[in-house]
Amino acid sequence: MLKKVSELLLRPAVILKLNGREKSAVITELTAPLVTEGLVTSQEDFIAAIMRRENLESTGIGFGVAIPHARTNAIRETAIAFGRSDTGVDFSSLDGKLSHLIFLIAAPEALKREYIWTLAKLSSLLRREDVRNGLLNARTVDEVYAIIEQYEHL
Amino acid sequence: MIQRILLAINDPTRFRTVARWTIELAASCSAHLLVVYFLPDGNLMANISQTELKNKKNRKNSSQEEIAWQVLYHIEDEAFEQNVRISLIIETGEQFERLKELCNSYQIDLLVVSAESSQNVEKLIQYSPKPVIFFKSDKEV
Repeated sequence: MLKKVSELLLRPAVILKLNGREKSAVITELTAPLVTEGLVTSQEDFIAAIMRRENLESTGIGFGVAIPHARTNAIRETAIAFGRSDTGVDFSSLDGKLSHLIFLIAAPEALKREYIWTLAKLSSLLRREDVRNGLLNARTVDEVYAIIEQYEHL
Repeated sequence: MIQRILLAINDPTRFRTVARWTIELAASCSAHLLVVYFLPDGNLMANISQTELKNKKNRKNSSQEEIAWQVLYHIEDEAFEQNVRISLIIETGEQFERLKELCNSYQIDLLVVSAESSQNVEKLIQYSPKPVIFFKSDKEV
């Protein structure tokens, strides 16, 4: 059974105010809680995998949203980190906009189906304007979960 | 010289061969690959309200968009294995017009279209702004 986005989102990895202003700094910031929670076996390898994808793909899906992601043996189980940036971060979105909502997906190499399903689910969810507005205005981590749960059930 | 290739698809059951072929082409000429998935008109969830989403028909549409993303991320994963630069787009509406716009916006050099995915094959052959390669089916070039 594939898990929902709200089940994969790691509570300590919900950061309502990101400090980083550059892509690499934000990725490191979002990765840190995954390391602390023991989901990443090698932070260096995971960040290298994420950055390799970033160099080949536009993980900015437009509308101020980016979904950096990687599937690698440096990950124990699939997890999502979320960060919000007031200033916005350049994830090379096709629409040219900076990303304010950044969801980082980490998945084990072997779990391709779960990885792609999670990416698809999250991308579909985040194209909805009301979801994006809800996440931009959420004041607490609980509100972030409430918005995701509300819409992923529809 | 081919620097940017646009691959247009809309059928989740007929994309693997055309995608693989296009990724190999992009790899061989170090081109940037843009993949656009066309959803049937009105199926883009970004344009549908929460109330509308609650009815059965729109729940089905929601899963169509998720399937489209799954197809796109499958292609992305394969492209990544071959070090091909890739961008993903979901579109709705009249395919010929949108393809023309995308060709201009992203300075596309070559368009690859699965014949099943185009509502306007003849129109594209006659009026495409860029060279087009059609796949007659998923199994044939």
